[in-house]
Amino acid sequence: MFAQKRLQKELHNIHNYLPPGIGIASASDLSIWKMDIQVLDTNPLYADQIYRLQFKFSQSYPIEAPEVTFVKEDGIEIPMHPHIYSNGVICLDLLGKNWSPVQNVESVCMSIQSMLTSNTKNERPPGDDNFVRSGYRSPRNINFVYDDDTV
Amino acid sequence: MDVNFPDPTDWLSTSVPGIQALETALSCQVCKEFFTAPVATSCGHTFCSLCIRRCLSATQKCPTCMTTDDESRLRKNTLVQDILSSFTAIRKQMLDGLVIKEEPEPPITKEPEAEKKRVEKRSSYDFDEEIEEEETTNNKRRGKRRKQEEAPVSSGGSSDRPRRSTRTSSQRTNSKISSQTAIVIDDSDEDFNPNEINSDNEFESGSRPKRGRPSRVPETPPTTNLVPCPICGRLKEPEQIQSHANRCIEGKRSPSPSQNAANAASSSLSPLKRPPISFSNIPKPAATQFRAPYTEEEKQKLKLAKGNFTLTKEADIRKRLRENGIRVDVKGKESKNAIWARLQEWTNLWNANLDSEMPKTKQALVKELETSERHQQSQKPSVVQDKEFAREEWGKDHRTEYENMIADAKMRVLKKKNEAESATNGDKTDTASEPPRMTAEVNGIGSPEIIET
Repeated sequence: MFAQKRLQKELHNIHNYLPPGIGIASASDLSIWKMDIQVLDTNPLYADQIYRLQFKFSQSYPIEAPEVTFVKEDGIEIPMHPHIYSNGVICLDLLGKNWSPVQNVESVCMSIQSMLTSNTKNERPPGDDNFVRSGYRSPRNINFVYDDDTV
Repeated sequence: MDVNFPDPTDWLSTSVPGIQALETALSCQVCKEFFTAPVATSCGHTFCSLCIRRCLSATQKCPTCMTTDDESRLRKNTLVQDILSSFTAIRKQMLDGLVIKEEPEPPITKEPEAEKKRVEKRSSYDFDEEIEEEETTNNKRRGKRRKQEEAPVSSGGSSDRPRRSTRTSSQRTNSKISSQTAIVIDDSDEDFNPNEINSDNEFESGSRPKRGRPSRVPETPPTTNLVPCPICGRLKEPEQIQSHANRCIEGKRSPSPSQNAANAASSSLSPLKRPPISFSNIPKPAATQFRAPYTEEEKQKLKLAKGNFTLTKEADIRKRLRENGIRVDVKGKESKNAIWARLQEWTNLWNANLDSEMPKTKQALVKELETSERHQQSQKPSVVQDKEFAREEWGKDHRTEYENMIADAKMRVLKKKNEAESATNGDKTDTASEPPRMTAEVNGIGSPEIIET
């Protein structure tokens, strides 16, 4: 119940204001939202591209982190990044063990946006093939090892 | 969707947008609402009592700075409570006074003559008192008031500042006559969700305006010289008001709201016209729901300990729940995890309630726990656990995944057969190519059904 209340509040704010490069694609209910993000500087990897993030909220949000993945839709690709698997799963400590209830959809979008902005490597995470083949879509069931602080 | 609640962004369209920061500071960063029973962590961050207790039962860390903390170190933050109380008491007034942009007025349905007459009437007999009563000498006020009276019910969702609804009069009354009363009212209506456990009508009798609720003043044609009841805000003839207010105080409902008419002049009547009602004599609203605040001694005595999952026996958990009158299924039906979670949530609710300025009774809390649990169960996010889970649909959607996995498995078996020396090759494909810097180890091996549970 507290999840709904908080999400309504966030949605209200999102409709009022969003930072540049972040937009709301769809939020028809209070369990799955889709957000569009765009890298604003001239990073050649992501220039003029819009990427779509999918947020899945559990009933325990914001105590529990939302499941955040990139999604592939018409004309929208999964961004190239050494921490983003080609099925859209994002390896980001903020969405896992370092999640904190003070984070919100906007702050998560901004973190991911800056994660893309600062990236220079045009590559997938090591072991991407295996990971994607295993079909694990939900980030919740994955124990990431966050050991790269450079990105 | 109901977005009819106070929000810091309301201030952006006023002449002092900086108040947004003040209001944000007075909001809990977990639930993003005004603090309910604010408590401070040992690292100095303040949250709602219930919010931080829930957070700490998930991870023993402060949500803001990630410092390790424990529930036992939470301390009540009375200063924040006081600031918040004063702020919420004047919030509406400030917002009305500072607003720059004026929304387009709704079509006026009344005849211009009637309108004019009312204005004259107001200016002739209670203009001075009105200035005394309200600090806001905003000349837009009249238009606003007219608007809210003409379309009291629909005003909620139609504008970008939906809170400016018809409870103005009753709220003004409250904050004016007794700021003490207003404090209790304003700080407790957020998290208590009184409508879950109580009908709206019961609350109307108890002088608790609910923030963000649509107006409760009935839409009726304007007549003259009506006085708003200081308890429920309904408009009454001055002769009737005394008896009506007494009935309100006693908790009886007003006979028929349709007799009460809305009038522009009436809501600005001076305190002199109001019946002499002492607010301190008003009994606590809905006495079955709320009780007097706990004293420090009581708090220490009644505080529940969290306990330890492994050290607590299942029977003990059941016993503790049953002692509090909380529903527990017949033994064996519910897992230890489930009842433990219930006990934890109960402990959180209970301890947070101890910190509250307007604590609920035990029965009300138990009811709240049950409501929230039922709510959670009805909206289980996990598709697989859901009873309504469409097995066939799922199968169709994930057909290729299953097929790939079957093919994979077959390949592995073939490999095993063919290459005797690499008997464990199949398993190794996962680990052998394990990435050097970033790895993903996956819980459980098998079909997606297992993964998703």
